[in-house]
Amino acid sequence: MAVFADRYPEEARVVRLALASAFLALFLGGLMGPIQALHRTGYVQFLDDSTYYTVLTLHGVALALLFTIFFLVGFFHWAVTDSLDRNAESTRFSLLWYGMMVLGAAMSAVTILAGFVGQVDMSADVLFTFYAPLQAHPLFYAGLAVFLIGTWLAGVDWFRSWYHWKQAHPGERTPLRTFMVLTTMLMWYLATAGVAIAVVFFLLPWSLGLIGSVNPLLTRTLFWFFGHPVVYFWLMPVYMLWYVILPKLAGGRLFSDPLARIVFVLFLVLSVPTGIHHQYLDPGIAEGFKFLAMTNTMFLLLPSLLTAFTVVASIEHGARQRGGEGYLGWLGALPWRNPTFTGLALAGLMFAAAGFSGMVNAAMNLNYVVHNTLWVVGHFHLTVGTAVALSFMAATYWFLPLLTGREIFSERMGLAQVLLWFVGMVMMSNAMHRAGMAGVPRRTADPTYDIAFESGMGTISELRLQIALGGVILTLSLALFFANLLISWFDVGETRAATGETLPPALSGPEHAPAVLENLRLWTAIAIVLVLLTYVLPLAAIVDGSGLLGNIDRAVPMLLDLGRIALEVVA
Amino acid sequence: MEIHRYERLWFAAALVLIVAFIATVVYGAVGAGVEMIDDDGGTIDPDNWQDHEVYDEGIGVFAANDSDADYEVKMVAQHPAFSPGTVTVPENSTVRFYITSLDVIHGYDVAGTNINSMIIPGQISEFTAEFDETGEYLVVCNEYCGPNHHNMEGSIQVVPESEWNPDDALVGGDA
Amino acid sequence: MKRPGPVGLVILLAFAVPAVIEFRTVLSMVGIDVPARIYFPAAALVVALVVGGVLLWPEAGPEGGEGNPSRR
Repeated sequence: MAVFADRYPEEARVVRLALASAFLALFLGGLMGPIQALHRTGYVQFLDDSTYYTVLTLHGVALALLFTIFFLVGFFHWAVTDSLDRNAESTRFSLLWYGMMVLGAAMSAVTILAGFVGQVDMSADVLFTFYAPLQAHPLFYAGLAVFLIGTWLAGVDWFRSWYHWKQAHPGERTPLRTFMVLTTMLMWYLATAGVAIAVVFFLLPWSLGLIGSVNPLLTRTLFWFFGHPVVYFWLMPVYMLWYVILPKLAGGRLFSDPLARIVFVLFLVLSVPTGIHHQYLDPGIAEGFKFLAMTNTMFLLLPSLLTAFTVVASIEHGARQRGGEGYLGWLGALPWRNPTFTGLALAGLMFAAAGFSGMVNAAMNLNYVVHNTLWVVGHFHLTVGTAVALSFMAATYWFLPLLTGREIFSERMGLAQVLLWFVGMVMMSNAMHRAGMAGVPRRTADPTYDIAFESGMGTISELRLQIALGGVILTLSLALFFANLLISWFDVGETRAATGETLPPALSGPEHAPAVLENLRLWTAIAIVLVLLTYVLPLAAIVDGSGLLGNIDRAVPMLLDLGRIALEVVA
Repeated sequence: MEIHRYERLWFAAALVLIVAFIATVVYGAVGAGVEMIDDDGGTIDPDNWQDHEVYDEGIGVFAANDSDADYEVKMVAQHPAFSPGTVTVPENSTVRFYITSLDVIHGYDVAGTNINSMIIPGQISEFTAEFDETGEYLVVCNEYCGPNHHNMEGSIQVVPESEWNPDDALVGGDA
Repeated sequence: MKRPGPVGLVILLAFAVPAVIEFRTVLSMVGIDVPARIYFPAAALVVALVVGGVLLWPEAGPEGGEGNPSRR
């Protein structure tokens, strides 16, 4: 049977390109991981402490922006093409948005990498959040803007396909995967408005010297306007995997298509008006706005909790189709030797744990105990680091054959890889949570101070050992992934031809979904209203209090010479 | 739209859980009285911070002039140090902090406690803490602020009341 | 209950390791302080025995073992 690459060769090529970019980013960012894990725990320090922050910027930007989003656009391009069963409107347009994303990524990456090279007067040691008054080279901000515009155009590509499909299929429900893509992109357009304004109107002109200052609280608030929904942007393709692919792998069918649609609509509506929960401890924002962000965030738990039910129910259905019996015995009937199944299932399990540590973060006054500590790092290594990254890696074993027409080189290697990731992450993340509770800070090259941290039991040095060890195990897993990937992609081993796969229909199908769910304009309007209600007043207060451009006239360019000057002053 | 019975139960349980979480936060705010850092501290011009009324007596530890606190700490953060770096207060005192940044965004985190604040240039962070136990508390800057961020630390010394000497501890004057 | 397969074992082990590490924290919370040089070798031995025991457990057929009382 023909696979996707046979039926849609041009679209498959775009998807392969996107995935290649994603994996390059994963490689660069992932290489930084063990360097950090071993440096900040004191085991292996071959870099200057100040270079750690260049490493950290690359790690964050490459993994949390480039790897995740390149994978998403590739995966979504497949999802729309395959579920609508029609070609993209214009391959040239698809290559345009892909090319813009690559250009933007390269622009920003060059500035970050230049931070390693002392002779070049360019750097961007500003970390993934690039808070002013820390300042990066203008190319960094310009690159981010170009990358974002590329993603916007990708959404246009998919909306165009949907529009033409609707004209050919009047009155029909949008196929589930396309529905998921469209709701996700609508959320993305809303979410990126904040960071686009911050970068285009403030940070970029400021770094070019066109304006004298920026208001740090304003640009920070605009960043977090984007910074929370971006995590849902990364998660939505994962949810598509868990809703659409995982049940099939388990031998069953999705429990409820309408419920999946409701979950995605809830994310469209609720993801953006929560960003202030990253700013609970900021001065300049009234407590009432923080409280509102807290309640919005708590309700945002709902779609994830609903997903947990549906996904487990779908898997259980599959297990019983395969002969599983008993209250828990059916777990044994699942295809645990299938690396995609096991990876996705473990990622889902980790996500549940991550949800609980996230609830702690969200619980406003409890946030005092964990903000900016290593707890937060433990949390997001469970969410983006496992729920997203592990799902993407596991999905690759299933997805790549559809794009190349050849099976993966080794299923066993894939299985070992996903298990190693899980083992390493459980160990590392648990230790990070505990270290954070003791007050160990995040984003810090060598957190040893004149006064020691006290952990509840055991010592900080035990926690450091677990973090280092966990990081090393994760690196081994990543090496296995790349070995398997490269051999499969370049067909070094002799592999079998892939067979096409169909996705079974849901147990409760789209015809049971209320028609109002299709009304994307309605949901977008509600989303916009909620954002206005949550953000207009706090933003107005910030601008009113300290001006649109801030009343401070400083920039702190993150250049290497500054580092040397500072060291001379302190030493 | 048909919803399975278990799913309806789960949905109800999820809502109960969410409401319970919100209730605990409300309790923390209203019952236990944990206030969030907010805009009470006001704004400031980092280039002319010494002209601001909060810093009219300079930085250091001062006696508070109101009933809500015993002492006030006036502090500034500038990579890679807090000034004053060490704060000494007696046990069982209530201390109000005013902190601002003279350069970039910093964090002020007293490890092992729930004293934790962002320090943003242009804004003054104001918060009040009760120090019930003696001890030496590590203060960490937990927001990346430059190449020496990992060396940015301070301390809070909470001494027994018998050892507390206002003449030594309370200071006035310039940075 | 059926004997877990190799994948299931690895998953259980992934959870067991931090659980064992944190159990020492729990003990200290109830007042029992066990020094690391005693706790970890002892815990490692216990885990090794449990894993060894599970590996020796025969893989049951459809009606093998003691039977699962909760099986339908």
